[in-house]
Amino acid sequence: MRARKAVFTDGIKTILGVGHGSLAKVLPVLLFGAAMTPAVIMAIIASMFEVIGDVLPGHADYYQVVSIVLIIFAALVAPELLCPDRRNGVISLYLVRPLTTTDYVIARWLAFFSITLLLVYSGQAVLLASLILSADEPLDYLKDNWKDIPRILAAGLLVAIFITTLPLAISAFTNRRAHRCGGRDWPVHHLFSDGRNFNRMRRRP
Amino acid sequence: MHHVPCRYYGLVSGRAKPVSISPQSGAPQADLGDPWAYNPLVATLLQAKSLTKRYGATVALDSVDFEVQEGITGLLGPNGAGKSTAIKLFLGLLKPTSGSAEVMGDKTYESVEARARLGYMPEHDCLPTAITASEFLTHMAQVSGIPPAFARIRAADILRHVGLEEERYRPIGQYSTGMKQRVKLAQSLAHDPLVVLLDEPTAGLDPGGREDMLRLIRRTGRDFGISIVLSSHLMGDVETTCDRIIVLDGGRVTEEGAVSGFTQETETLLIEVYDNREELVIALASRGIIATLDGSSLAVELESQSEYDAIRDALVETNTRIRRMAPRRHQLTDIFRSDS
Repeated sequence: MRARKAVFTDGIKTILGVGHGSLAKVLPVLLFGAAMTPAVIMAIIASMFEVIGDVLPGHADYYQVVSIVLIIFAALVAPELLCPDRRNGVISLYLVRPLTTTDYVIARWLAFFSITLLLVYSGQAVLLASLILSADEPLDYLKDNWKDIPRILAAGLLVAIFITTLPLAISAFTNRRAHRCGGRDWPVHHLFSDGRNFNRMRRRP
Repeated sequence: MHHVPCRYYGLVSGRAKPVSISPQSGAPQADLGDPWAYNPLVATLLQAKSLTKRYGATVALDSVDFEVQEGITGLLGPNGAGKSTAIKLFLGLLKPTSGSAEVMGDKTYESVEARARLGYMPEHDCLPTAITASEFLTHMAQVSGIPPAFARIRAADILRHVGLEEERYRPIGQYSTGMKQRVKLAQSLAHDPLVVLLDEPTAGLDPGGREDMLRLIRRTGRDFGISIVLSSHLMGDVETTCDRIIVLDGGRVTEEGAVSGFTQETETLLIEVYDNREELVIALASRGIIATLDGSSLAVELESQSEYDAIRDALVETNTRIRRMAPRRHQLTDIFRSDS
């Protein structure tokens, strides 16, 4: 149990850049900020205008707004959890300790899932709080829309599972940072950066 | 009360009594059935029983039987002899084709907990480059089951032991090859194992670094009571470091026993002289003693103690200045010479 907890904690630290120098902390902070920004903007607008329901996107639309950020977050973070251990050979040290391959993968997945879930729920929590507080009658708003809360939680859970599992699964097949970016996130790169990484990797022998 | 399988002790001479750590308080508790529990009556730490490992048509280990007892044991053999395969079988990284590789009676590929008794220093690179040695060792100690507070102390102790106390807050990527080898050794000791398996620990080191590493291994084994299996194809490393050797060749055990048994004195007397070597050979021949030139020395096959008197007389007669006279000792290289 302690071994699994140690790998889980190390995964959390890796994602947040703790113990990896100041540069490693910049990316998670930027991504966290990027995921929160839509919720904060929507919250500010909601507090300024009263026509919330008709004009501004709701909880369901929030995922569409931040999906690109979440995909980029997953694309950059997932490989960092699995690939360095294999690239540096540290995995061989894990597997001679009281830890199975399954324990290792589950601990890494849980670390990634926890942070992703936190990211997803934080934005929704900010949005929900702002919608409640900006309503004329906050309690009435909550009474009318309380069914949204389990929906938000369930949807967030599904989004977090999808965002976490797929990139980790793909990262398990490579140990190169550029390669997995080129391979896994090719659609994203192709859309937003004309696929240069992918083309570069295709030329790699 | 649930007892976490974790033993911890500071680096002191001799083996301390195992303790387990309470998961609630983190305080050491009386030891009740943890997997490290070591029975001193069981002398055999590792045991290969008809151990066979095949990779397709290639037989890496062919029904070998051997035991590893306390102390420093050398696993000697040329490349491809099956040393690394044997180590991986004991670590549970591979499953035997047939037979078994047991660690104090447990099969590590079946019992994950049994791995906690083992430390492993691989031959290949296995270190992260971005984090410090202190962080890495603390993490590895925790993965081995040591609570975080104790893991930090343990990491500091081990890094001091391997001579990296001053460098422990530098990223490992900035280390020299020798320092990286020390970190590799340190991580294998981080959880205070009963047996450490070292796979070619001097690989890539210069002569000075190699001697330092061997000295460190000897100190770890003898001062701290941690048994060591040293896999190497360098006979010098094994001869100067180990108490016992197991020689593997072609997937079979060809020799096994105490190093002193392989390096005992022979019946050949080596006489090293400053001058008059040819005259001395003739003088010895006139006394019925056949001497052959062996490098800068003369080698004489002794048949009786009285031949010492004849050699003394020959030396006086030829006025030869003697530098050294001693029986020749066997060397581990003789094992391979006799095999070939």
